[in-house]
This record gives sequence, structure tokens and C-alpha cells, in this order.
Amino acid sequence: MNSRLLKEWTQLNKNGNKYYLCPIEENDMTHWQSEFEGPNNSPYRGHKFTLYLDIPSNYPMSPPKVRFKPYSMPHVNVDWKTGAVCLDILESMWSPIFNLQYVVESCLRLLTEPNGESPLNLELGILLRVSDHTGYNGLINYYLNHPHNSLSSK
Amino acid sequence: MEGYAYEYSHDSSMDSITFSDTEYPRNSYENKNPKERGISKDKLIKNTIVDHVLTQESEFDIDDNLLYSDDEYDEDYDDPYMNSSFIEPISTIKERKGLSKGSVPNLKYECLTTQNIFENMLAKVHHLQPIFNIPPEDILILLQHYDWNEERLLEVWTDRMDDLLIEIGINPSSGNISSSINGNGQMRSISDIIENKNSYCNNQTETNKDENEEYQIPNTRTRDISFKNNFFCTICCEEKSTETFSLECNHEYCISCYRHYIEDKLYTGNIINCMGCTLALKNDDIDKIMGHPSSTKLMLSSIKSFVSKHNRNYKWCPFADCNCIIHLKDTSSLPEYSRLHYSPFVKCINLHKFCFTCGFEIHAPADCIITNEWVKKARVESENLNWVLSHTKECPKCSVNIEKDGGCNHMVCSSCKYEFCWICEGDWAPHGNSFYQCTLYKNDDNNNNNNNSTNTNSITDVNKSLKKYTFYYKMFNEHEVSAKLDWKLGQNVGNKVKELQEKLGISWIEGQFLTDSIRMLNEGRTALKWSFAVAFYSDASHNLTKIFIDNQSLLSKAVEDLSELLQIKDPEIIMKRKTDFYNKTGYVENRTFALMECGRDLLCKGICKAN
Ligand SMILES: [Zn+2]
Ligand SMILES: [Zn+2]
Ligand SMILES: [Zn+2]
Ligand SMILES: [Zn+2]
Ligand SMILES: [Zn+2]
Ligand SMILES: [Zn+2]
Repeated sequence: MNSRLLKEWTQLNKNGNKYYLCPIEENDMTHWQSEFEGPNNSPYRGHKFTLYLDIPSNYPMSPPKVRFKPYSMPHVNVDWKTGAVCLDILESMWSPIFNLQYVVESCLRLLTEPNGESPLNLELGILLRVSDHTGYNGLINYYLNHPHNSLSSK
Repeated sequence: MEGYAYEYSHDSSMDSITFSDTEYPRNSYENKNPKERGISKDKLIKNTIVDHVLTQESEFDIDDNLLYSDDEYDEDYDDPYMNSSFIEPISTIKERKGLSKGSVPNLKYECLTTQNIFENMLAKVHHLQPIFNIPPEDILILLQHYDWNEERLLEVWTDRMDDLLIEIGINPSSGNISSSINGNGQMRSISDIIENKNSYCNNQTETNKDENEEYQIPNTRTRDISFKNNFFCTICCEEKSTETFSLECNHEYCISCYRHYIEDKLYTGNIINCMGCTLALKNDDIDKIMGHPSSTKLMLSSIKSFVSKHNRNYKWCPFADCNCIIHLKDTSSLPEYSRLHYSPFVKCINLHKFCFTCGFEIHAPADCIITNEWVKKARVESENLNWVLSHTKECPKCSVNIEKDGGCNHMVCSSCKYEFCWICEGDWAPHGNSFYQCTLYKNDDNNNNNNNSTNTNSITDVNKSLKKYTFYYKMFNEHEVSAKLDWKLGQNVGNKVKELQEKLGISWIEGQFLTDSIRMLNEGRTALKWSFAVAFYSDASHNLTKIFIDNQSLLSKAVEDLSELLQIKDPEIIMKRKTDFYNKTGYVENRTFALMECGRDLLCKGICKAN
């Protein structure tokens, strides 16, 4: 299955980098990371994020394990402490035809389209549910500006 | 928790002893329902045992004069050597017990395997084929999709059969292959996933267009394996001369990728779709791709999830490595059991006995409520003590073990698709509105503990009750350990019987008493073990509790005595002491019944209750 990852890697290089997705170390194809800026039409604009992708040995039959850098992503579907992402295509809806680029794109899309149904961040989940947009954006901003200041990181 | 896991390991050793083929002619247990078969002469004895174990009322109903008294038992025996029917002690007791006032209804059940159930399903397919008028393979997929529920399928079928065939992926939809992956949309965070799957699929094909254009031209609309030179597979991204497979959708992938893909999915029991769209692979396709009849694995997995989803009527034998399923067609008598504080024990063809209601091993004198309470407590306490956080949980619906490997609390069971909350194990649906409540509950608990710690009286109370619990839990565990040792002992029994046969030239039937002894020993031990759960929840000041505890110690003694007798290695001495074996075995049986009846009394009178 290695040639699949190599192929993805060459493809990414060819297409230029809309965002930066690459193996963390050149000679290890099992750990990737992606760095991107928050989308403009989201409360994350102007902030940089890092996404880690761990590739299981039976990739692409199994999806990569994906998480944001801990204590960096205040998002309804992301666990603040661990960075774990709750996304259906990374679980039951996974298909081997998806690739890493698609996974990163999906995570990016999650930033503009949070899903209140599967909250990992309960506070944000409640604000989203009651449609308190000011509170919602405000809390995200607070998190973003105080990344290591939250209760949970004590 | 610890005691729990352990219980299963000792159960597994059970399989290998006494009931092995060498001791028991196989065919005497192959029968699915021993109760219903005719009794031929040479099986008479065995049947007596089987019936004894199978018949519920025989477990507990016992003549009142046997209760709390043990002096008259020995007189009941003539020289059993001379007696042709060796099982006398047991059958005598059975007769004497008769049906008492509190008698419970008989349980009628059958013991099946997944294979048996699958065969029943195939019969259904056969029956449905003229109605549906589509290939049996397609009916199998339909049934699989509808959890083998014929009625539901028929309902939907008459309403909208064409849509159904497309939706389930049996027929390709004309034009765009679109939204139809099993209506499981709830967890969808990106709503148009399917579209994406397709657009992505196209994307990739596009990228590779120039490399393998000539092979992409859809020359066929059939599902089959073909051989391609220099085929570029978009899954593994290798270009090779290989066999490929595609369905009518022409999503073509190399055979090795297809095999890996299918391999992983055979155990889920779910319909396997094309990697690029929602078209379903039929059993025939799966077997073709895998090169051997792998689809049976998929079917059996599907049956397994069927069983789990119908766990009111179907129960897995909980014993390790046992694949039996007990099917109780009519569950209407079950409430009567719980009303009388009995437990509906069933027995699989491997002679494993377990409670149909709660799925635990035979747990009398405790009833299901006490048992569950006890087990829950054991779980909580062991977690409190070790702070071990479990990363697996049983699906609250189908009990399949689910591993939590991320932070996501929204769990979807891989087997039955039940969506639940990791924190409270409740249905996920209401969490849409009140997610916070299940965490608040836990916080409340913490607060209570904090309040308690300021109160010195309650702290000693807590310590006291913890001490009490630790004691009973220890006893419980100790007997579990002993039971395991007993089983080891039992493993030698088979050899002893064989030795007896060879050395003394005696018949199988004559050596049977050893097997009976070890079986009774285990039953006594198990009853003893669970009696500590009953004792823990009983009002210690009540007189009946004291009687119960006396009965415990009497049974302990009886059990240890019999256990000791079974240490004898010399077959000749064993034969000489046959009467001892009878007496001690019978005594254990009587003591066990007495303890059970006494425990039931505690429950009926409300002296023992889960708080
Ligand atoms: Zn391939
Ligand atoms: Zn397809
Ligand atoms: Zn069994
Ligand atoms: Zn039970
Ligand atoms: Zn389940
Ligand atoms: Zn909950």
C-alpha cells in the first residue's frame, strides 16, 4: 500500500500547495501533518492550525487517524484537550477511494460547517444549539487567544 | 471486573472436561432439544441427567423436609453397586421434589447455531422467491438489509419495490449514482457525502485518465473478474497486469484491493458496497473475488447481528468459545420467573447453563436483580480502586464490544448501528437537546461525595460499607478461584473414568458417578459463590439471614469434602469408595437446594434486596 501514499505525495507536490500536507519526516509515510489558515468565512480566520494524520498499516482500507494539535482547535466537533475530530467519513462512512487530501479538505470544511449533532466540545455545542452566534464566536475567539489558559489545560 | 473476566476463563476449561466425546457418546448431545427426543434404552441414564438439568422446576423445588436438614439423606441409599440405575440419588430427589406451590412454568427453547439460523433464513428465501421473482441472491441482500425481518421487507416491498432495489444497491440507478447509503444520515457532518464520494471518485479517475484511458472505456455492464494488462488501480495506485473486478457501475479496482476491502468487512455482517458507489456486492461476487466461499462468513456475521438485535428471544451462550444460541420462542413466562425470584436457566448442547434473562452463569440463590446489582457494584468498585478507565464498552443494544479510539462520545455500534452516548450509555437521539445533562449527573455525584467528606459520621459509614463489601467480594472471588481449581480437578476425572474402564473392565455407565460428582461439585460451588451476593444484600439482623449463613457454611463444608474425595487417584480405591461418592454428591446436592430455597425465602420476604 506504500505506492498509494507515494502517489498521493507526488500528486500533492504536482498540484502545488493550497495548503500544506506532507509527511512529518521525509522517510516516514505513516505520520503526516497539514498546516492551514482558518477559512475567511469562519471565526478561525487569521489563525494557523496544525492537523496530524496517522496512517494505519491497512490504509486506505481503514481511514487515517486525524487530530488537531491539542488545545488549539476550539470547535464543536473537536475535542479541545486531545484534538480528536468527530467526522463521519473518518468512521462509518469511510471509503478507500478517499485520500488524505480529501480528509484535510473535509476537516477544513468542518470549520465553516460545524455539526451540532456530534458535539465533542460541549460548551460550544450548547451555544450552537441555542443559536447564540455572538456567544459562539466569542467563545471561539477567547479560546483562540488563550490557547493554554483554559481550565482543562491546568 | 476482575472476577468477571475470570469467570469466563474458568468456564472455558469446562468445555474440555467431563463432557468430552470420549466420555459421552457424541450423539447423545447432538440432539437440539434433549427433552423432546425419544428415550432409547442405552441413553436412558444420560437422558435422566440431561432432563434433570434441563427441567427448571427440578432446580429448586425441594421437599420441605429436606430444607435445613441433612440427617436423613444417607439412609436413602441401598447399595448402589447393585442398583442398575446409578443416577438414583439425583432422580430420587427429583421425584421427591415434585412440583411445589411456587412452581414455575416450563421453558421451551431450542439450542441453535448461527449456521442453523442461516439455514432457516435460506428456507425463507426459498419461500419468498416466487413472490419476489428476483434471484435468491438478491433476496438474501434484501433480507440482510432488513435484519432478516421478512414481514418488514414484505411491507416495504409491496409499496416500492423498484426504489428499494436501487436503494439497497441491488440494481444500479439509471444515470447518476446518488444518495442511498443506508439511511444512516445522523452522524453526517458533511451532508452531501455521497456526492462527494462520487465527485471525488471522478476526480481521481480524471487525474489518471491519460494513464489508463483505454481501460476506462465501459465495454461491459456486467459484474465480473477480468484480466487487464498495465491496469492502474486508483486504490493502491499501482500499475500492474492483474485481475480486476467491477460491478455494473464500472468502478474497477484490482483484485488485491478488492480482497483487502472485503476481508475487513466480512465480520461486520453489513452489506458490502462497491468502493466507489452504493452498488451492493452479492454473495456470488464476494466468493468470486475472494476465490473461496467467503460470503458464508458475511452471512454468519449478519446472522450474529440478527441474534443480537433480537436478544429478547435469542441469547448467546455466554461461555467462552461456545457458539450456541438459545432461542426462546415464547417469553411470556419470564415475568413469572422474576416474580417468584427464580431465574430462567437454560442449557446449551454443550451443557453450559446460564440465565436467559440476564445472560450470566447460573446464579441461584441470587435472582437476576441481585446478580446485576452485584456485578455492577463489582465493576464500579474495581474501577474506583484501580482507576482503570475502560476504552471498550458493550453496545447497550446488542452487547458487541465497541472500542473508543477517539474523543467522540457519539458512538455508533459497528454491528447493530445503534447510536448511543459514551458517557451515559443512553440513546443518542435525545442528546440533540440535552447533551449536557448526562455530564451534570456525574458532577452531582462528585458534589455529594464532597459533602459527605465533611461529615465524619458518613465517612465511617462509607468505610464500614466498603469493608463489608470487600469482605463479601473476597468470598465471592475466592469461590470463583476454587471453582476454577475444581474444574482442573474435573479435567482429571475423564482420565480417571478411562482408567477405571481399562483397569477394572467396567462399563462407561458404571464410571459415570465420577462425572456426576464433579458436575454437582461445580453446581454447589457456583451456588455458594452467588450466595455471598445474597448475603451482602440481606438484612444481617434478621433471623433468616442467620439461617442462610449457617446454610452457607454447611454447603461450604459439603463442597470441600466432595472436592477432597475427588483427589483420589487410585481407580480401585475410587471404586471401593463409590458409596462415599454417592453420599457426598447427594449431600452437596441437598445442601445446594437448601441454600437456594433459603435464599429465595430471603428474596421473597424482602429481607434481601438490592438497595
Ligand atoms: Zn489496487
Ligand atoms: Zn461502483
Ligand atoms: Zn454453551
Ligand atoms: Zn439472571
Ligand atoms: Zn450494537
Ligand atoms: Zn449521555
